[in-house]
Amino acid sequence: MSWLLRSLADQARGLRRGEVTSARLVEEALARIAALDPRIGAFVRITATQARAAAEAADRRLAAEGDGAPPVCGIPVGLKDVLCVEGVETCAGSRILQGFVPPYTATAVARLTAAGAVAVGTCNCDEFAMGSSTENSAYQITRNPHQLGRVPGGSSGGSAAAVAAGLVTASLGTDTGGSIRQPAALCGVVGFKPTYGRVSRFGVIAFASSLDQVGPLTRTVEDAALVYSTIAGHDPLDATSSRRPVDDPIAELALGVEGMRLGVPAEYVDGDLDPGVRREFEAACGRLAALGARIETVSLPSTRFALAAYYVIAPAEASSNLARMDGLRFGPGAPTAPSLRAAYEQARHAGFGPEVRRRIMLGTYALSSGYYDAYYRRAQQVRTLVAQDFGRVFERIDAILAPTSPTPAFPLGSRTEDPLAMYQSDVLTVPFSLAGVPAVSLPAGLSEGLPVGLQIATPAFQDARCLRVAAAFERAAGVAAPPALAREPVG
Amino acid sequence: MPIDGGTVRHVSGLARLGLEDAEVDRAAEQLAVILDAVDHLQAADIRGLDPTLRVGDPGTPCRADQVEPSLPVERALAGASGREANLLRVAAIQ
Repeated sequence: MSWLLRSLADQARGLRRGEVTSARLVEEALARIAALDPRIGAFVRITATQARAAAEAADRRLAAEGDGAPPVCGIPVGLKDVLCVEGVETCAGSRILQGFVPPYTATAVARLTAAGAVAVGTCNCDEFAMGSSTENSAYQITRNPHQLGRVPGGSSGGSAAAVAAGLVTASLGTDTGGSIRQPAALCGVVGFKPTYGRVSRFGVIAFASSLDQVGPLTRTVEDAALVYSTIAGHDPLDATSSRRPVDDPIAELALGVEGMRLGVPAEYVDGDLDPGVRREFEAACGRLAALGARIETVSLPSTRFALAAYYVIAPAEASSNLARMDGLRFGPGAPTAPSLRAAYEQARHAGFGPEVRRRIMLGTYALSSGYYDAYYRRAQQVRTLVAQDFGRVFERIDAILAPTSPTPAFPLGSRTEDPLAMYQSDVLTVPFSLAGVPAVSLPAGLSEGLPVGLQIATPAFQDARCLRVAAAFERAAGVAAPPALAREPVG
Repeated sequence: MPIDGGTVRHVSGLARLGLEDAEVDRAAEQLAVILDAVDHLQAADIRGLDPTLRVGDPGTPCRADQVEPSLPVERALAGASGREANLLRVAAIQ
Protein backbone atom coordinates (compact mmCIF):
# COMPACT_ATOMS: atom_id res chain seq x y z
CA MET A 1 0.00 0.00 0.00
CA SER A 2 1.22 3.47 -0.83
CA TRP A 3 2.66 5.36 2.12
CA LEU A 4 0.33 8.21 1.15
CA LEU A 5 -2.69 6.07 2.02
CA ARG A 6 -1.45 5.54 5.56
CA SER A 7 -2.23 7.95 8.35
CA LEU A 8 -0.02 10.92 9.20
CA ALA A 9 0.76 9.24 12.53
CA ASP A 10 1.91 6.06 10.71
CA GLN A 11 4.07 8.07 8.34
CA ALA A 12 5.58 9.97 11.27
CA ARG A 13 6.50 6.66 12.91
CA GLY A 14 7.95 5.37 9.63
CA LEU A 15 10.06 8.51 9.27
CA ARG A 16 11.50 8.08 12.76
CA ARG A 17 12.21 4.37 12.32
CA GLY A 18 14.01 5.00 9.05
CA GLU A 19 11.43 3.01 7.05
CA VAL A 20 10.78 5.96 4.78
CA THR A 21 12.14 9.45 4.16
CA SER A 22 10.37 12.72 3.61
CA ALA A 23 12.01 12.86 0.18
CA ARG A 24 10.34 9.55 -0.71
CA LEU A 25 6.96 10.66 0.66
CA VAL A 26 7.12 13.83 -1.40
CA GLU A 27 8.18 11.97 -4.57
CA GLU A 28 5.30 9.58 -4.00
CA ALA A 29 2.90 12.51 -3.57
CA LEU A 30 4.16 14.17 -6.76
CA ALA A 31 3.89 10.88 -8.69
CA ARG A 32 0.35 10.26 -7.43
CA ILE A 33 -0.66 13.82 -8.33
CA ALA A 34 0.78 13.39 -11.83
CA ALA A 35 -1.02 10.06 -12.30
CA LEU A 36 -4.37 10.67 -10.62
CA ASP A 37 -5.03 14.40 -10.40
CA PRO A 38 -5.74 14.96 -14.10
CA ARG A 39 -9.00 13.04 -13.40
CA ILE A 40 -9.75 14.80 -10.08
CA GLY A 41 -8.53 18.39 -10.39
CA ALA A 42 -7.67 18.80 -6.70
CA PHE A 43 -4.56 20.91 -7.32
CA VAL A 44 -4.28 24.21 -9.16
CA ARG A 45 -0.55 24.62 -8.57
CA ILE A 46 2.31 22.27 -7.75
CA THR A 47 5.41 23.61 -6.00
CA ALA A 48 7.69 20.63 -6.70
CA THR A 49 11.04 22.44 -6.47
CA GLN A 50 10.26 24.03 -3.11
CA ALA A 51 8.74 20.76 -1.87
CA ARG A 52 11.84 18.72 -2.72
CA ALA A 53 14.08 21.25 -0.95
CA ALA A 54 11.78 21.28 2.09
CA ALA A 55 11.74 17.47 2.17
CA GLU A 56 15.55 17.33 2.24
CA ALA A 57 15.56 19.84 5.10
CA ALA A 58 12.93 17.76 6.94
CA ASP A 59 15.04 14.62 6.53
CA ARG A 60 18.07 16.43 7.98
CA ARG A 61 15.94 17.63 10.89
CA LEU A 62 14.53 14.17 11.54
CA ALA A 63 18.05 12.75 11.55
CA ALA A 64 19.19 15.40 14.01
CA GLU A 65 16.14 15.55 16.31
CA GLY A 66 14.63 12.06 16.01
CA ASP A 67 11.60 11.73 18.29
CA GLY A 68 12.01 15.38 19.26
CA ALA A 69 11.02 16.54 15.76
CA PRO A 70 7.42 17.79 15.46
CA PRO A 71 4.92 15.08 14.42
CA VAL A 72 4.19 16.77 11.08
CA CYS A 73 7.88 17.01 10.14
CA GLY A 74 8.46 15.61 6.64
CA ILE A 75 4.74 15.08 5.90
CA PRO A 76 3.42 16.18 2.46
CA VAL A 77 0.49 18.58 2.72
CA GLY A 78 -1.77 20.63 0.44
CA LEU A 79 -2.92 24.20 1.05
CA LYS A 80 -6.24 25.74 0.04
CA ASP A 81 -5.88 28.52 -2.51
CA VAL A 82 -7.00 31.19 0.01
CA LEU A 83 -3.95 30.74 2.25
CA CYS A 84 -1.19 33.17 1.34
CA VAL A 85 2.26 31.69 0.82
CA GLU A 86 5.13 34.09 0.27
CA GLY A 87 6.43 33.80 -3.26
CA VAL A 88 3.69 31.40 -4.44
CA GLU A 89 0.81 32.73 -6.57
CA THR A 90 -2.38 32.66 -4.47
CA CYS A 91 -5.65 33.41 -6.26
CA ALA A 92 -8.57 32.28 -4.02
CA GLY A 93 -9.91 30.50 -7.08
CA SER A 94 -10.54 33.91 -8.66
CA ARG A 95 -9.50 35.54 -11.88
CA ILE A 96 -9.33 38.89 -10.09
CA LEU A 97 -6.28 37.70 -8.12
CA GLN A 98 -4.54 36.03 -11.05
CA GLY A 99 -0.87 36.93 -10.77
CA PHE A 100 -1.03 37.86 -7.07
CA VAL A 101 2.13 36.63 -5.37
CA PRO A 102 1.83 37.34 -1.63
CA PRO A 103 4.78 38.97 0.11
CA TYR A 104 3.97 37.11 3.36
CA THR A 105 2.74 33.73 4.53
CA ALA A 106 -0.45 32.93 6.45
CA THR A 107 0.32 32.14 10.09
CA ALA A 108 -1.35 28.71 9.93
CA VAL A 109 0.85 27.78 6.96
CA ALA A 110 3.95 29.29 8.56
CA ARG A 111 3.40 27.21 11.70
CA LEU A 112 2.87 24.04 9.71
CA THR A 113 5.98 24.49 7.57
CA ALA A 114 8.07 25.69 10.53
CA ALA A 115 7.23 22.33 12.10
CA GLY A 116 8.66 20.64 9.00
CA ALA A 117 5.51 19.83 7.01
CA VAL A 118 6.17 19.96 3.26
CA ALA A 119 3.69 21.91 1.10
CA VAL A 120 3.52 20.26 -2.32
CA GLY A 121 0.94 22.56 -3.86
CA THR A 122 -2.20 24.65 -3.81
CA CYS A 123 -5.63 23.03 -3.65
CA ASN A 124 -8.56 24.20 -5.75
CA CYS A 125 -11.54 25.85 -4.08
CA ASP A 126 -14.69 27.77 -4.86
CA GLU A 127 -13.92 31.39 -5.72
CA PHE A 128 -13.23 33.30 -2.49
CA ALA A 129 -14.47 30.17 -0.67
CA MET A 130 -18.06 30.86 -1.78
CA GLY A 131 -19.67 27.59 -2.69
CA SER A 132 -20.48 24.06 -1.66
CA SER A 133 -19.28 22.10 -4.68
CA THR A 134 -15.91 23.51 -5.88
CA GLU A 135 -17.56 24.24 -9.20
CA ASN A 136 -17.17 28.01 -8.72
CA SER A 137 -13.38 28.15 -9.17
CA ALA A 138 -12.32 30.29 -12.11
CA TYR A 139 -9.65 27.71 -12.96
CA GLN A 140 -11.19 24.23 -12.91
CA ILE A 141 -13.75 22.04 -11.25
CA THR A 142 -12.73 19.38 -8.76
CA ARG A 143 -14.28 15.89 -8.89
CA ASN A 144 -15.10 13.55 -6.05
CA PRO A 145 -12.55 10.68 -5.97
CA HIS A 146 -15.32 8.26 -4.91
CA GLN A 147 -17.37 8.95 -8.05
CA LEU A 148 -15.88 11.28 -10.63
CA GLY A 149 -19.28 12.46 -11.82
CA ARG A 150 -20.03 13.88 -8.37
CA VAL A 151 -18.91 17.03 -6.59
CA PRO A 152 -16.36 16.86 -3.77
CA GLY A 153 -18.29 19.45 -1.76
CA GLY A 154 -16.91 22.89 -1.07
CA SER A 155 -15.52 25.25 -0.75
CA SER A 156 -12.40 23.31 0.36
CA GLY A 157 -13.17 20.60 -2.21
CA GLY A 158 -9.62 20.41 -3.54
CA SER A 159 -8.23 20.00 -0.02
CA ALA A 160 -10.72 17.20 0.74
CA ALA A 161 -10.31 15.37 -2.59
CA ALA A 162 -6.51 15.54 -2.32
CA VAL A 163 -6.56 13.73 1.04
CA ALA A 164 -9.27 11.26 -0.03
CA ALA A 165 -7.25 10.24 -3.11
CA GLY A 166 -4.01 9.99 -1.14
CA LEU A 167 -2.34 12.77 -3.12
CA VAL A 168 -1.20 14.31 0.18
CA THR A 169 -1.39 13.13 3.77
CA ALA A 170 -3.15 16.20 5.12
CA SER A 171 -4.35 19.55 3.92
CA LEU A 172 -5.50 22.88 5.25
CA GLY A 173 -8.89 24.30 4.41
CA THR A 174 -11.03 27.15 5.65
CA ASP A 175 -14.56 26.92 6.99
CA THR A 176 -16.97 29.86 6.95
CA GLY A 177 -20.33 28.05 6.91
CA GLY A 178 -19.19 24.45 6.49
CA SER A 179 -16.41 24.65 3.91
CA ILE A 180 -14.16 22.16 5.72
CA ARG A 181 -16.81 19.84 7.18
CA GLN A 182 -19.11 19.43 4.16
CA PRO A 183 -16.36 18.48 1.65
CA ALA A 184 -14.79 16.22 4.29
CA ALA A 185 -18.15 14.44 4.61
CA LEU A 186 -18.66 14.15 0.85
CA CYS A 187 -15.12 12.86 0.25
CA GLY A 188 -14.99 10.46 3.22
CA VAL A 189 -12.23 12.16 5.24
CA VAL A 190 -11.96 13.97 8.57
CA GLY A 191 -12.44 17.75 8.55
CA PHE A 192 -12.16 19.90 11.67
CA LYS A 193 -13.33 23.48 12.11
CA PRO A 194 -11.77 24.73 15.35
CA THR A 195 -13.37 27.30 17.66
CA TYR A 196 -13.49 30.75 16.05
CA GLY A 197 -10.33 32.56 17.20
CA ARG A 198 -8.38 29.38 17.93
CA VAL A 199 -6.37 29.46 14.67
CA SER A 200 -5.02 32.71 13.27
CA ARG A 201 -6.71 34.19 10.20
CA PHE A 202 -3.62 36.24 9.31
CA GLY A 203 -2.82 35.68 5.67
CA VAL A 204 -6.18 34.09 4.88
CA ILE A 205 -7.88 35.85 1.97
CA ALA A 206 -11.05 36.86 3.77
CA PHE A 207 -14.58 35.80 2.85
CA ALA A 208 -16.59 36.63 6.02
CA SER A 209 -14.25 37.71 8.80
CA SER A 210 -16.54 36.96 11.76
CA LEU A 211 -16.94 33.35 10.56
CA ASP A 212 -13.77 32.29 8.70
CA GLN A 213 -11.61 29.69 10.44
CA VAL A 214 -8.65 27.59 9.26
CA GLY A 215 -8.57 23.85 9.98
CA PRO A 216 -7.19 20.48 8.90
CA LEU A 217 -8.50 17.78 6.56
CA THR A 218 -6.95 14.38 7.21
CA ARG A 219 -7.52 10.65 6.95
CA THR A 220 -7.92 10.07 10.74
CA VAL A 221 -9.03 12.00 13.81
CA GLU A 222 -5.60 11.64 15.40
CA ASP A 223 -4.06 13.22 12.30
CA ALA A 224 -6.51 16.13 12.54
CA ALA A 225 -5.49 16.59 16.18
CA LEU A 226 -1.79 16.57 15.22
CA VAL A 227 -2.26 19.24 12.54
CA TYR A 228 -4.62 21.29 14.74
CA SER A 229 -2.09 21.27 17.60
CA THR A 230 0.55 22.57 15.19
CA ILE A 231 -1.44 25.52 13.84
CA ALA A 232 -3.55 26.59 16.87
CA GLY A 233 -2.69 29.35 19.31
CA HIS A 234 -2.54 33.08 19.78
CA ASP A 235 -1.17 35.22 16.98
CA PRO A 236 -0.53 38.93 17.56
CA LEU A 237 -1.14 39.48 13.84
CA ASP A 238 -4.84 38.56 14.18
CA ALA A 239 -6.84 40.72 16.60
CA THR A 240 -9.55 38.05 16.87
CA SER A 241 -7.05 35.35 17.80
CA SER A 242 -7.70 34.04 21.32
CA ARG A 243 -5.07 34.36 24.05
CA ARG A 244 -6.39 31.33 25.94
CA PRO A 245 -3.95 28.44 26.21
CA VAL A 246 -4.54 25.72 23.63
CA ASP A 247 -5.94 22.50 25.04
CA ASP A 248 -4.06 19.29 24.23
CA PRO A 249 -6.26 17.12 22.02
CA ILE A 250 -3.71 14.31 21.76
CA ALA A 251 -3.81 13.70 25.51
CA GLU A 252 -7.62 13.38 25.43
CA LEU A 253 -8.05 11.28 22.28
CA ALA A 254 -8.05 7.95 24.14
CA LEU A 255 -10.40 8.96 26.95
CA GLY A 256 -13.57 7.66 25.31
CA VAL A 257 -17.20 8.71 25.72
CA GLU A 258 -18.42 6.57 28.61
CA GLY A 259 -20.79 8.63 30.75
CA MET A 260 -20.86 11.53 28.30
CA ARG A 261 -24.21 13.12 27.40
CA LEU A 262 -24.51 13.55 23.65
CA GLY A 263 -27.40 15.56 22.22
CA VAL A 264 -29.16 15.02 18.90
CA PRO A 265 -31.07 18.18 17.90
CA ALA A 266 -34.59 17.20 16.84
CA GLU A 267 -34.61 19.98 14.24
CA TYR A 268 -31.58 18.47 12.47
CA VAL A 269 -33.10 15.06 11.93
CA ASP A 270 -36.74 16.04 11.46
CA GLY A 271 -36.04 17.70 8.12
CA ASP A 272 -35.35 16.23 4.71
CA LEU A 273 -32.45 13.82 5.00
CA ASP A 274 -31.29 11.36 2.39
CA PRO A 275 -32.41 7.90 3.63
CA GLY A 276 -28.85 6.61 3.58
CA VAL A 277 -27.63 9.60 5.56
CA ARG A 278 -30.38 9.06 8.13
CA ARG A 279 -29.60 5.33 8.38
CA GLU A 280 -25.84 5.88 8.88
CA PHE A 281 -26.41 8.73 11.35
CA GLU A 282 -28.75 6.60 13.46
CA ALA A 283 -26.24 3.75 13.34
CA ALA A 284 -23.49 6.15 14.48
CA CYS A 285 -25.61 7.27 17.44
CA GLY A 286 -26.18 3.62 18.31
CA ARG A 287 -22.45 2.93 18.17
CA LEU A 288 -21.70 5.83 20.54
CA ALA A 289 -24.43 4.61 22.88
CA ALA A 290 -22.82 1.17 22.87
CA LEU A 291 -19.59 2.86 23.98
CA GLY A 292 -21.36 4.12 27.08
CA ALA A 293 -22.55 7.58 26.01
CA ARG A 294 -26.08 8.74 26.80
CA ILE A 295 -27.81 9.89 23.63
CA GLU A 296 -30.54 12.47 24.26
CA THR A 297 -32.82 14.46 22.02
CA VAL A 298 -32.31 18.20 22.40
CA SER A 299 -33.88 21.24 20.77
CA LEU A 300 -32.19 24.10 18.91
CA PRO A 301 -35.35 25.92 17.79
CA SER A 302 -33.61 28.90 16.19
CA THR A 303 -31.90 26.55 13.77
CA ARG A 304 -34.73 27.22 11.32
CA PHE A 305 -33.48 30.80 10.99
CA ALA A 306 -29.76 29.98 10.86
CA LEU A 307 -29.33 29.48 7.12
CA ALA A 308 -31.20 32.71 6.34
CA ALA A 309 -29.11 34.66 8.88
CA TYR A 310 -25.92 33.18 7.44
CA TYR A 311 -26.88 34.13 3.88
CA VAL A 312 -27.29 37.74 4.98
CA ILE A 313 -24.28 38.03 7.31
CA ALA A 314 -21.70 36.23 5.17
CA PRO A 315 -22.50 38.08 1.91
CA ALA A 316 -22.61 41.39 3.81
CA GLU A 317 -19.11 40.79 5.19
CA ALA A 318 -17.97 39.53 1.79
CA SER A 319 -19.22 42.64 -0.01
CA SER A 320 -17.13 44.71 2.38
CA ASN A 321 -14.03 42.46 2.30
CA LEU A 322 -14.05 42.20 -1.48
CA ALA A 323 -14.42 45.97 -1.99
CA ARG A 324 -10.62 46.15 -1.97
CA MET A 325 -10.31 43.95 -5.07
CA ASP A 326 -9.83 46.46 -7.88
CA GLY A 327 -8.43 44.00 -10.42
CA LEU A 328 -5.92 46.58 -11.60
CA ARG A 329 -2.60 45.70 -9.94
CA PHE A 330 -3.12 42.04 -10.80
CA GLY A 331 -6.06 40.28 -12.34
CA PRO A 332 -7.79 41.25 -15.56
CA GLY A 333 -7.09 45.01 -15.58
CA ALA A 334 -9.25 47.48 -17.50
CA PRO A 335 -7.40 48.36 -20.68
CA THR A 336 -10.24 50.30 -22.33
CA ALA A 337 -11.87 52.03 -19.36
CA PRO A 338 -12.58 55.74 -19.91
CA SER A 339 -12.61 56.65 -16.20
CA LEU A 340 -11.45 55.34 -12.85
CA ARG A 341 -14.97 54.26 -11.94
CA ALA A 342 -15.33 52.47 -15.24
CA ALA A 343 -11.94 50.82 -14.67
CA TYR A 344 -13.14 49.38 -11.37
CA GLU A 345 -16.40 48.22 -12.90
CA GLN A 346 -14.71 46.68 -15.93
CA ALA A 347 -12.04 44.87 -13.91
CA ARG A 348 -14.42 43.66 -11.19
CA HIS A 349 -16.98 42.46 -13.72
CA ALA A 350 -14.33 40.51 -15.60
CA GLY A 351 -12.56 39.35 -12.44
CA PHE A 352 -15.42 37.98 -10.33
CA GLY A 353 -17.44 34.91 -11.27
CA PRO A 354 -21.26 34.77 -11.18
CA GLU A 355 -21.61 33.40 -7.62
CA VAL A 356 -19.24 35.97 -6.13
CA ARG A 357 -21.02 38.77 -8.00
CA ARG A 358 -24.34 37.43 -6.69
CA ARG A 359 -23.15 37.40 -3.09
CA ILE A 360 -21.58 40.86 -3.35
CA MET A 361 -24.91 42.16 -4.69
CA LEU A 362 -26.84 40.43 -1.90
CA GLY A 363 -24.47 41.77 0.77
CA THR A 364 -24.45 45.28 -0.65
CA TYR A 365 -28.24 45.24 -0.74
CA ALA A 366 -28.48 44.01 2.88
CA LEU A 367 -26.13 46.76 4.04
CA SER A 368 -27.64 49.55 1.96
CA SER A 369 -29.69 52.42 3.29
CA GLY A 370 -33.28 51.39 4.01
CA TYR A 371 -32.54 47.66 4.22
CA TYR A 372 -29.82 47.49 6.89
CA ASP A 373 -32.17 47.09 9.87
CA ALA A 374 -34.49 44.64 8.12
CA TYR A 375 -31.71 42.36 6.95
CA TYR A 376 -28.22 42.83 8.36
CA ARG A 377 -29.06 44.00 11.89
CA ARG A 378 -31.89 41.49 12.19
CA ALA A 379 -29.64 38.66 10.96
CA GLN A 380 -27.08 39.58 13.62
CA GLN A 381 -29.82 39.51 16.26
CA VAL A 382 -30.90 36.10 15.01
CA ARG A 383 -27.26 35.06 15.35
CA THR A 384 -27.62 35.91 19.05
CA LEU A 385 -30.69 33.65 19.20
CA VAL A 386 -28.77 30.80 17.58
CA ALA A 387 -25.84 31.24 20.00
CA GLN A 388 -28.25 31.31 22.96
CA ASP A 389 -29.75 28.00 21.80
CA PHE A 390 -26.33 26.41 21.86
CA GLY A 391 -25.52 27.95 25.24
CA ARG A 392 -28.68 26.43 26.76
CA VAL A 393 -28.05 22.98 25.32
CA PHE A 394 -24.39 22.94 26.32
CA GLU A 395 -25.33 23.59 29.95
CA ARG A 396 -26.34 19.94 30.23
CA ILE A 397 -24.93 18.22 27.13
CA ASP A 398 -21.25 17.45 26.48
CA ALA A 399 -21.43 17.37 22.67
CA ILE A 400 -23.96 17.64 19.86
CA LEU A 401 -24.29 15.01 17.13
CA ALA A 402 -25.73 15.71 13.67
CA PRO A 403 -25.30 14.59 10.10
CA THR A 404 -22.82 16.87 8.33
CA SER A 405 -24.75 17.16 5.08
CA PRO A 406 -28.39 16.28 4.32
CA THR A 407 -27.25 14.36 1.21
CA PRO A 408 -24.15 12.56 0.00
CA ALA A 409 -22.18 14.02 -2.93
CA PHE A 410 -24.52 15.26 -5.64
CA PRO A 411 -23.91 15.09 -9.41
CA LEU A 412 -21.71 17.74 -10.99
CA GLY A 413 -23.77 20.58 -12.43
CA SER A 414 -26.98 19.56 -10.67
CA ARG A 415 -27.21 22.64 -8.43
CA THR A 416 -25.20 25.28 -10.29
CA GLU A 417 -28.28 26.94 -11.77
CA ASP A 418 -30.19 26.91 -8.50
CA PRO A 419 -28.39 28.96 -5.83
CA LEU A 420 -30.94 28.11 -3.13
CA ALA A 421 -30.51 24.37 -3.66
CA MET A 422 -26.74 24.86 -3.38
CA TYR A 423 -27.12 26.95 -0.20
CA GLN A 424 -29.21 24.13 1.35
CA SER A 425 -26.04 21.99 1.29
CA ASP A 426 -24.86 24.05 4.29
CA VAL A 427 -28.04 23.81 6.36
CA LEU A 428 -26.54 21.45 8.95
CA THR A 429 -23.13 23.11 9.24
CA VAL A 430 -24.02 26.82 9.29
CA PRO A 431 -25.54 26.97 12.82
CA PHE A 432 -22.26 25.86 14.41
CA SER A 433 -20.42 28.51 12.39
CA LEU A 434 -22.76 31.26 13.57
CA ALA A 435 -22.19 30.17 17.18
CA GLY A 436 -18.40 29.98 16.66
CA VAL A 437 -18.14 26.55 18.27
CA PRO A 438 -15.76 23.76 17.17
CA ALA A 439 -17.18 21.03 14.95
CA VAL A 440 -15.66 18.03 13.23
CA SER A 441 -16.95 15.81 10.44
CA LEU A 442 -15.74 12.23 10.14
CA PRO A 443 -16.74 9.29 7.97
CA ALA A 444 -19.74 7.37 9.27
CA GLY A 445 -20.52 4.90 6.50
CA LEU A 446 -21.77 4.93 2.93
CA SER A 447 -25.04 5.75 1.19
CA GLU A 448 -25.18 3.95 -2.16
CA GLY A 449 -21.40 3.89 -2.28
CA LEU A 450 -20.95 7.54 -1.31
CA PRO A 451 -19.47 8.71 2.01
CA VAL A 452 -21.69 10.03 4.80
CA GLY A 453 -20.33 12.36 7.47
CA LEU A 454 -21.03 12.43 11.20
CA GLN A 455 -20.74 15.92 12.70
CA ILE A 456 -19.76 16.45 16.34
CA ALA A 457 -19.76 19.87 18.02
CA THR A 458 -18.78 21.03 21.51
CA PRO A 459 -18.79 24.34 23.38
CA ALA A 460 -16.34 27.05 22.32
CA PHE A 461 -12.73 26.25 23.24
CA GLN A 462 -13.61 22.60 23.95
CA ASP A 463 -11.84 21.57 20.76
CA ALA A 464 -10.09 18.67 22.48
CA ARG A 465 -13.42 17.24 23.67
CA CYS A 466 -14.78 17.48 20.11
CA LEU A 467 -11.87 15.41 18.78
CA ARG A 468 -12.12 13.01 21.74
CA VAL A 469 -15.71 12.08 20.86
CA ALA A 470 -14.72 11.73 17.19
CA ALA A 471 -11.76 9.50 18.08
CA ALA A 472 -13.98 7.23 20.18
CA PHE A 473 -16.37 6.80 17.27
CA GLU A 474 -13.52 6.19 14.82
CA ARG A 475 -11.98 3.50 17.04
CA ALA A 476 -15.30 1.68 17.09
CA ALA A 477 -16.23 2.20 13.42
CA GLY A 478 -12.75 1.91 11.90
CA VAL A 479 -10.99 4.35 9.58
CA ALA A 480 -12.83 4.76 6.27
CA ALA A 481 -11.35 2.92 3.31
CA PRO A 482 -9.93 5.12 0.54
CA PRO A 483 -11.82 5.19 -2.78
CA ALA A 484 -10.98 2.63 -5.47
CA LEU A 485 -9.27 5.30 -7.55
CA ALA A 486 -6.77 5.92 -4.73
CA ARG A 487 -5.83 2.24 -4.68
CA GLU A 488 -4.89 2.12 -8.37
CA PRO A 489 -1.20 1.32 -8.89
CA VAL A 490 0.81 4.44 -9.70
CA GLY A 491 4.04 4.52 -11.69
CA MET B 1 -39.82 39.76 -2.51
CA PRO B 2 -39.86 41.50 -5.89
CA ILE B 3 -36.72 43.40 -6.81
CA ASP B 4 -36.66 45.55 -9.92
CA GLY B 5 -33.99 46.26 -12.48
CA GLY B 6 -33.45 49.76 -11.11
CA THR B 7 -32.56 48.38 -7.69
CA VAL B 8 -30.19 45.85 -9.24
CA ARG B 9 -28.47 48.62 -11.22
CA HIS B 10 -28.21 50.75 -8.08
CA VAL B 11 -26.67 47.92 -6.02
CA SER B 12 -24.38 46.92 -8.88
CA GLY B 13 -23.22 50.54 -9.05
CA LEU B 14 -22.60 50.75 -5.32
CA ALA B 15 -20.52 47.57 -5.53
CA ARG B 16 -18.75 48.65 -8.75
CA LEU B 17 -19.73 45.40 -10.43
CA GLY B 18 -20.55 46.85 -13.85
CA LEU B 19 -23.40 44.46 -14.61
CA GLU B 20 -24.36 44.58 -18.27
CA ASP B 21 -27.95 45.26 -19.29
CA ALA B 22 -28.43 41.66 -20.40
CA GLU B 23 -27.47 40.46 -16.91
CA VAL B 24 -29.78 42.73 -14.92
CA ASP B 25 -33.04 40.79 -15.35
CA ARG B 26 -31.44 37.46 -14.45
CA ALA B 27 -29.78 39.04 -11.40
CA ALA B 28 -33.11 40.55 -10.32
CA GLU B 29 -34.80 37.14 -10.57
CA GLN B 30 -32.11 35.36 -8.58
CA LEU B 31 -31.85 38.03 -5.89
CA ALA B 32 -35.63 38.00 -5.49
CA VAL B 33 -35.61 34.24 -4.92
CA ILE B 34 -32.80 34.50 -2.35
CA LEU B 35 -34.39 37.47 -0.57
CA ASP B 36 -37.67 35.55 -0.43
CA ALA B 37 -35.84 32.68 1.23
CA VAL B 38 -34.14 34.87 3.84
CA ASP B 39 -37.28 36.89 4.46
CA HIS B 40 -38.54 34.51 7.13
CA LEU B 41 -35.94 36.16 9.40
CA GLN B 42 -38.76 38.63 9.93
CA ALA B 43 -40.62 35.90 11.86
CA ALA B 44 -37.88 35.53 14.47
CA ASP B 45 -38.63 37.03 17.88
CA ILE B 46 -35.60 39.23 18.40
CA ARG B 47 -37.13 41.67 20.88
CA GLY B 48 -34.53 42.96 23.31
CA LEU B 49 -31.67 41.05 21.71
CA ASP B 50 -28.36 42.67 20.90
CA PRO B 51 -26.78 41.80 17.58
CA THR B 52 -23.86 39.34 17.71
CA LEU B 53 -21.14 41.07 15.77
CA ARG B 54 -18.48 38.56 16.71
CA VAL B 55 -18.01 35.36 18.64
CA GLY B 56 -15.06 34.05 20.62
CA ASP B 57 -13.15 36.05 23.18
CA PRO B 58 -14.60 39.51 23.84
CA GLY B 59 -12.74 42.72 23.20
CA THR B 60 -10.02 43.67 20.81
CA PRO B 61 -6.58 43.19 22.34
CA CYS B 62 -4.12 45.94 21.57
CA ARG B 63 -0.38 45.52 21.43
CA ALA B 64 1.96 48.09 22.94
CA ASP B 65 2.02 51.32 20.93
CA GLN B 66 5.59 50.89 19.77
CA VAL B 67 7.09 51.02 16.31
CA GLU B 68 8.09 47.55 15.12
CA PRO B 69 9.64 46.38 11.87
CA SER B 70 7.04 45.92 9.15
CA LEU B 71 7.03 44.50 5.65
CA PRO B 72 10.06 45.89 3.81
CA VAL B 73 9.35 47.82 0.59
CA GLU B 74 11.32 45.38 -1.55
CA ARG B 75 9.25 42.41 -0.34
CA ALA B 76 5.99 44.33 -0.58
CA LEU B 77 6.72 45.20 -4.20
CA ALA B 78 8.29 41.88 -5.16
CA GLY B 79 5.09 40.71 -6.85
CA ALA B 80 4.35 43.95 -8.68
CA SER B 81 4.05 43.63 -12.43
CA GLY B 82 5.25 47.21 -12.82
CA ARG B 83 7.10 49.56 -10.51
CA GLU B 84 8.12 53.18 -10.36
CA ALA B 85 10.26 54.16 -7.34
CA ASN B 86 8.38 52.72 -4.37
CA LEU B 87 5.02 52.65 -6.14
CA LEU B 88 3.11 50.01 -8.10
CA ARG B 89 2.80 50.98 -11.74
CA VAL B 90 -0.41 50.00 -13.51
CA ALA B 91 -1.76 50.73 -16.96
CA ALA B 92 -3.01 54.29 -17.30
CA ILE B 93 -6.74 54.93 -17.29
CA GLN B 94 -7.65 56.30 -20.72
